[in-house]
Amino acid sequence: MLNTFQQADHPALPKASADEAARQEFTKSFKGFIQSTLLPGLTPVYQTRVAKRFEKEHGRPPADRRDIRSGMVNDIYFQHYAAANRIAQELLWESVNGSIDRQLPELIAKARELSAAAKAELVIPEGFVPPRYVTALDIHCMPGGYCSEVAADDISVGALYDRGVYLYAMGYTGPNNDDMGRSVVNYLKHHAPDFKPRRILDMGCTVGHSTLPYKELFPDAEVWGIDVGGPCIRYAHARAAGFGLEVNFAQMNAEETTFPDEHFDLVVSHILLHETSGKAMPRIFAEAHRVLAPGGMMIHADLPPFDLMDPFTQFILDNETWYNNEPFWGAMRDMDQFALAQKAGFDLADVKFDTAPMAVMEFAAAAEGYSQEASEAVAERDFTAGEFAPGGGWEVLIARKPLDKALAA
Amino acid sequence: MSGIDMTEAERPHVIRHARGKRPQFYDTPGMDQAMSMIMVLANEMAVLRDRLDSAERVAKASGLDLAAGIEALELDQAALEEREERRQDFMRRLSTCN
Ligand SMILES: C[S@@+](CC[C@H](N)C(=O)[O-])C[C@H]1O[C@@H](n2cnc3c(N)ncnc32)[C@H](O)[C@@H]1O
Repeated sequence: MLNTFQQADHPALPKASADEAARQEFTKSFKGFIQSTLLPGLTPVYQTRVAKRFEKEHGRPPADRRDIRSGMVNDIYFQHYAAANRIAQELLWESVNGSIDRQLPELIAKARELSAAAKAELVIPEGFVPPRYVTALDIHCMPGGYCSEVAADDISVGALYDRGVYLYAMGYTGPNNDDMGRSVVNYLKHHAPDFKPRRILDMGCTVGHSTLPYKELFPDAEVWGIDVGGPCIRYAHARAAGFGLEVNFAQMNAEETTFPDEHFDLVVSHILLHETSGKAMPRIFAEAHRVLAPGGMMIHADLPPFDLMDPFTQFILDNETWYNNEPFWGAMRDMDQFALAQKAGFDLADVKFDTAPMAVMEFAAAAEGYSQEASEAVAERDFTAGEFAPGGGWEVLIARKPLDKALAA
Repeated sequence: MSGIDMTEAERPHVIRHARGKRPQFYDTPGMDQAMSMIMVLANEMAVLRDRLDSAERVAKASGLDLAAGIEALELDQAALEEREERRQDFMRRLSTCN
């Protein structure tokens, strides 16, 4: 199936010249090639060569993902696969960065203009310090990370994320990069049709990709996106304004927000947790619990925990930890999220894991390059480790705060 | 100050390198760098090919079937020599710059 998915334009998005667009398109094709052609080769290489050699050397078969890794790293096929993945990642950011660099002052001016015309709030506190685990190294090799600023009112890493993540996801999350948010909202509409949140908080929203569907599908709700990256938050605000959606954005730490107790009916996050730390994660759960009103829901969408998979699958997923500047990627999957939720104050009976099916089908026919057939193919896949959005659904942790605390106690 | 009023020197620049140690994948020293260079070249080749495709499509839309003309083109002696000279020169440069 040819992937011809194209990102939808919006007023804040960097504009690419013909060569820049071709350069970017190549990185998306390269990633697609690695996933469709190189990745499937790893299993036979492991079974026919690596596992046997390991057994000969150690007198026992490989037992866990660490054993598997220790054998695979010496195999030339794996070396090519892992190097290709890393190079694709580097080319991807570079292809976008070159384009942003050419038009940066114009992009900043455009974002300012969009934000100035918006009614929604934009909060950037003076002297805000982002946590170390976000700034210590550039997560997923994105140059500058989420927080670097190279000019006044900078939005550059926000713009870089918007375009770069589209290429990274190869368009699988839709023309507006919003499949995760859209899928969770769909899930809520389906499983809790009477749930009408008055206020919604999206933690670690980056440029608001997942945030906007909440405003679109709960138009009467007051929606807030928070993130520690200043340039991301500025860009998010401008981007939302460009879509004509009134969504508030603030530079804020999800471990310790400035919102009052019991302020929100819905607190969500999308692929935030694996980019935090072992110390931050419990604090984020506790903070979500604090700002939730009775009857409210906390939903975290991320990739599935390791204990749900075989060691070879774990090994493939864990490559991100080793090769893509994702220090917490593997460790997060070993955290007991039920215990964390319970410690934060939720009742174990009110906590569960579920799958929110991808909303990508909705894009079919409506957006450039999204054919019905290709969108269906994405939505109906089986779980395959190492593929983007494996299994056609998002893993969600859902916790509900009891309506009446006194009753629950 | 907006972009239009800025001189080249005043324009801000994005960060081009990611912080964090780059892993090594291959046993042979230099192989990782070589692979990166090869993929940058492959990327640029794809850009050129797309550009040529665009040229053909734009020409066709304005009534000139470049693609068909290219297929039908017969090379005369001068063109054959010019191309062979260019290829040999390319290989000379390629094999000494290492
Ligand atoms: C992969 S991105 C999230 C993508 C986004 N939720 C979406 O769906 O498009 C992770 C984000 O989490 C942010 N982040 C990490 N730790 C945070 C914290 N303690 N509080 C708020 N944001 C945080 C990072 O700055 C980054 O923007």
